[in-house]
Amino acid sequence: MAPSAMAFPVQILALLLTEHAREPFAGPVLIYGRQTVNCSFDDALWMFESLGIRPHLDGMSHPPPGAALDFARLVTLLGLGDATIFEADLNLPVAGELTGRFGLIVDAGTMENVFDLRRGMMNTAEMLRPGGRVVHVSPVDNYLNAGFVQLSPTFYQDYYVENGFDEVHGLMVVRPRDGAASKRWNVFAYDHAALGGVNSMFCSDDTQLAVYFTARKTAASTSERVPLQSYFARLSETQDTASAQYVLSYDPAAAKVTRVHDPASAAAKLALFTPVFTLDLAARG
Amino acid sequence: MGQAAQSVALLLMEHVRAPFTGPVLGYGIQAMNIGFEGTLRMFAAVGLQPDPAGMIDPPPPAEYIDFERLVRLMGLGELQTLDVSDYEGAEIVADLNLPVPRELMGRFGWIIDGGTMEHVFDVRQGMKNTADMLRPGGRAIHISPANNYVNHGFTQLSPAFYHDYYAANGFEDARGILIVQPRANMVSTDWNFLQYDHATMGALDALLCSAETQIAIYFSARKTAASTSDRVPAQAQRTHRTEGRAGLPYQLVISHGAGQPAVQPLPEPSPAAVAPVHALVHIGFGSGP
Repeated sequence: MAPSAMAFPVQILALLLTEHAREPFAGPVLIYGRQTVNCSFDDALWMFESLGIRPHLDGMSHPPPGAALDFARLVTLLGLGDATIFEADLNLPVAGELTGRFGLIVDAGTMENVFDLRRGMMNTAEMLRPGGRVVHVSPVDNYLNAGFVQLSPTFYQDYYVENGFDEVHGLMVVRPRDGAASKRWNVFAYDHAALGGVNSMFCSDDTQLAVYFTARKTAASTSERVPLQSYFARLSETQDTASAQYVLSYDPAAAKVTRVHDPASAAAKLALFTPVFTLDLAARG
Repeated sequence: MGQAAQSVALLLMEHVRAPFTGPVLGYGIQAMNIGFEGTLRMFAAVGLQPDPAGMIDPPPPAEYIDFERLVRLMGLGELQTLDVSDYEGAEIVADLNLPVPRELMGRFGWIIDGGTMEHVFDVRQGMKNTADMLRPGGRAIHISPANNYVNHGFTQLSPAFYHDYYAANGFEDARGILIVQPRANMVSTDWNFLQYDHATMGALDALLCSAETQIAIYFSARKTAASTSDRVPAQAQRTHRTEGRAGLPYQLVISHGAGQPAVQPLPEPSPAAVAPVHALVHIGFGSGP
C-alpha cells in the first residue's frame, strides 16, 4: 500500500531474529508494503551468526557492498521461502485466496495508516493460518500525525485476547528522537497487568515510543470480535483506578524510567523495565 | 467521564465564534468540572448571555454542573446522551462499533464526543455513525487524546485522522485546536490552545511533546447537504515514521507553559514553522467549583 519502500529498522530486525532464534517462524510470509532493512547483507549475516541462526544462502547471489537489504530477501535467508508483498488496501476485505494462508505476517508501519482499523485487524487475523504468527511494529507515543492514530499496546492486547490468539506478547521500544538509525534502542517487556491502566506511560521530548507486538493464531481463533478495552472491563469489576505512571526517556544504556504516580498497588514493579534485548549492534566494530 | 473547566471555556468560545444549534447529542454522561457560578462567570467573560432555561433550579454552589445544564444555558434545549450501556443513565443505548438505528440518522445539530472515540475499537464505524446522526448543517466536535496518553484508549487520535475523514466526506468548516495540558495539576492549571494548521503541521513526522505535557485534539466539522459518511480516507500526507524526520522540513516540540506553550521547532527556528503556532486564548482558572 505504500508508494515506495518503507525503512525497516535494523534494531527491529534484531528483535525479530531474537524471537526467531527462540522459536523459529514458519512460512509462507506476508509483508505489508515493500520493506528495506537499513543494514547491509553482511550486517544481517553477522546478526544471524551472533544469534546462532543458520543463513539459507543456497543459490543466493551476494548483493553489491553497501546495498540496502530487501526484507523479502531476508525472509529467504531465514529459510522461509519467497515472501509475498501485500500492496492492496487493508480497508477492504481481502480476497478469499489469501485467507488462512500465511505462517507469518509482518506489519511494520502500516496499521496506523489504515483508517478502518477493525477491518485491518480482521484481514490480518484471517490471512494467518492456524499456528501462524503476526508481528506488528507501530507508533505508540510522540509520533503525533505519523499515522492516523498512535496504537496503544492495549489495542493489540485486547483484540488478540478477545479473538482467542495465544502467545500474546508486547515489547515496548524506546528510541531516541535524533540519530535513531545508528543507535542502540531500549526495549522492555510490556506487562499488561502492570501497564494496562490509563495513561501508564509518558515520553520525554527526546524520546519516541513504539510497540513490537506478536500473537499466534490457534485453530479456535476468531477475527471479527470487537474487544472492550480491558482496563474498563476490569474496572467495572474491581473499581481499581490505581495505575502506576512512568515517564520514559531514551538512554544509550537502558531506558531511564521515572515513576510519576505511585499507588500502593504498583509497588516493586520496576523490574519489568529490565531490557530484554541485549544484542549490541555497536559491538560489531 | 468528565470535562474540565478549560474544555467548557473552549466550547463557549467556539459557540461565540459560530453558534452551535440543537438538538444536542452527547457521547457518554459528562460531568463538567466547574460549578454554576463559575460557569456564569465564564459566560460573562466570553460575552454570552445565559439562556433562562438554564437558570432554573441551579445546583448548590459546592456542586459541579453537568453537561445537560451547560447545553440549557447555551440555549440549545434538551441534551440527549448515547452510551454503550444505561449504567450511567443514558437515554440512547447504542454501541458505536455497530451501525446505529435508522431512527437516529440525520437528527442532531450538534454531536459532542468528549472522550469516546478513542475507546471505540471500530473507529471507522464510530465516525460513520457520528456523520450519519448529524443533520445537514449540524456539527460534530471531538475532544480526544493525541499524545502522552498511552493506554488511555485503544488509540491516540492524530489530528490527521479527523481532518482527512471529514475532508474525504465533504464536511466544511473543519477546525482543529491542539489542547496543550500540563501532566501535573491538570485540573487547576491553565491550558494552552494552539491552532492546528494542517497545511503545515499535517506533514510532520512528528509533533512531539515533553514529559510534563499532554496533548489532546479538539476537532470540529460541519455536515453539508452533500456530505457522505462512508468514504475511507487514505492518509494524504503519508510519511514514514521509521527514520524520524528524514526529508521533512521540521518537527515541533510542544511544552505546556503558564500563559502560553513553549513551542520549539527542530532542527532550527523557521518562520513558516512557528507562524501557525500561536495561543488562541488565555483564560485564568482557579480550582474548585
